[in-house]
Amino acid sequence: MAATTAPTTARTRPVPAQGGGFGGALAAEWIKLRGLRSTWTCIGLTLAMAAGIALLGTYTMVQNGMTGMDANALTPTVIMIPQFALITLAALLITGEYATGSIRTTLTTVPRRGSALAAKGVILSLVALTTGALVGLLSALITIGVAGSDGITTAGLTHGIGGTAAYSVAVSLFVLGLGAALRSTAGTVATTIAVVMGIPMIATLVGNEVLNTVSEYSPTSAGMVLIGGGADPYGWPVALMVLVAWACAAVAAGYALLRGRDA
Amino acid sequence: MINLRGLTKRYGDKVAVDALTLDIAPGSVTGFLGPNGAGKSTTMRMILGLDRPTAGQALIKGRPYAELKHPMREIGALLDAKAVHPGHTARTHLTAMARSNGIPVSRVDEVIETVGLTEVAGKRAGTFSLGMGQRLGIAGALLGDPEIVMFDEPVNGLDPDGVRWVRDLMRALSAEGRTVFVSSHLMSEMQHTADQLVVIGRGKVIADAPIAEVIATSSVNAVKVRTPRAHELAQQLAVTGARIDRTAENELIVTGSTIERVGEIAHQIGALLLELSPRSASLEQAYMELTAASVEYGAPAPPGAADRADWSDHNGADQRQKEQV
Repeated sequence: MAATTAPTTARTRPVPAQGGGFGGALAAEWIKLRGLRSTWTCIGLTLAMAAGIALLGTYTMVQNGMTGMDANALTPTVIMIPQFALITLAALLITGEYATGSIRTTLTTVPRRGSALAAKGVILSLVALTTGALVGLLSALITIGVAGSDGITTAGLTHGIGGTAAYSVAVSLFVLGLGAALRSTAGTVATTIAVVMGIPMIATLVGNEVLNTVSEYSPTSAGMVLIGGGADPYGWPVALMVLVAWACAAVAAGYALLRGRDA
Repeated sequence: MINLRGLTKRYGDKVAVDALTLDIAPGSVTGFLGPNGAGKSTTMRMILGLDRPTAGQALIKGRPYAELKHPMREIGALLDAKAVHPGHTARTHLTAMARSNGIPVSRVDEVIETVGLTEVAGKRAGTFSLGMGQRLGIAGALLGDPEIVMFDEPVNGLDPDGVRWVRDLMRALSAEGRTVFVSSHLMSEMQHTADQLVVIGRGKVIADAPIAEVIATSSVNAVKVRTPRAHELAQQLAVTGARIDRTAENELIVTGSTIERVGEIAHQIGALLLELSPRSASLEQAYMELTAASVEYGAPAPPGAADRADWSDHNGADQRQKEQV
């Protein structure tokens, strides 16, 4: 690396302020997220897996003689596996910074910890919202394309697209809060898998009444209701509140730890 | 201006930084010295609000770091080269920093050019050498054109060209009236760059003075005398309480006295003086002496090390002849 000549750092005029503040923090988070390959890999994987699962599902149903089902019929199932790519993206947004040490840059440029976390939350929500909506849309389009277009309803599409978007935002924020608390990518992803997949599976295996109740209020059950538009064991407004509660609890825990901790 | 007021950091029972009270003045380079584990980096992290002080506070222009609206416009810091995401390009990293602090994005290419990374601005930081990483960190510190810059071990991993470049940069920054606060464990580096020295050991301030003063107050300052009547002079000097090393047949190194006193005694006994000269310690020696008591992970001295003189212009033959009077 050749040395540069006599360093000149002085500017001829003072640097005018342009933006900064919370808007600046948002811009910085978006630039950072956009600038990583892993972001696009995760989003691409989410969409590719969703399309693949939707295709397989509808094709199988058509093979079994089922046609004209609701365009939204498969969406609650379609999101279950691809969501883990989105969960990884959400975890990396903060645990990736801890792993690489770049969290120190983030927290020196945006020293208010609440603002730094909130900026990440907003940007992540927008990405999750878009990705989730695309998953819902893909699932509906593929179902219509493969199985026919008999079952297009406004309510179905609203749940399939809007519900998947809302569910994706809630799960991503849950992961962000958990990541802020745990700081490790592996720990965050593993804990999320335990909550999203583990709770319903254990409840099904054990069949205990308490566990069943817990499982009813897991993010997965609430997501199924919200995306599927069903009314069992509760309607979509309750489902939405359950998801908001999971996200808020994790973000609050993450913030509480982030605020007082040495970076 | 950075003001530390009783700044303290404890980890359980261990005190990393012990009630530091310091004012770091503008327009000069303040060297922050101390052995490994002395608390230099912890102090710098507390100044930046990354670590929370157990007690006391660190103020930048009178305010805690977290209360600065656009902190990078007030203080630019290089903490370590590892504060960059390896997946980001140099330009992405700096652009994100600029946007968060209301700094025009046009400034990014300016600082990239200042640190000499223009050709690799679009490459991922993960592919950078340690020296390039340091330059990128320095670019980040300069981005907001801040009045205060703080560098933690900036020459780590730099080649001689780079070391010189950092040295010139720090001189240029302080000449522009900025506050430059730089940590190092390399004394020789500080001797070339710093005006003011803060030496800490085990979290406490050991010295806080202009660099010349730190050297001057060191007890290793000595007087060199060459005279045919060295033995006699040594005996007379010993009476006054001075410590004498006879480094050659006709040569003495006197500590704990002054050049005037040595000359006076030589005159009294009528000794012919072939040489009478002050010997100032290097910063390295002054520093070793200051921190001797506070080295956290000291290794025992190698055998014979204690016998070897510190005086740099003595050859081995002289040292073998050295005789304690």
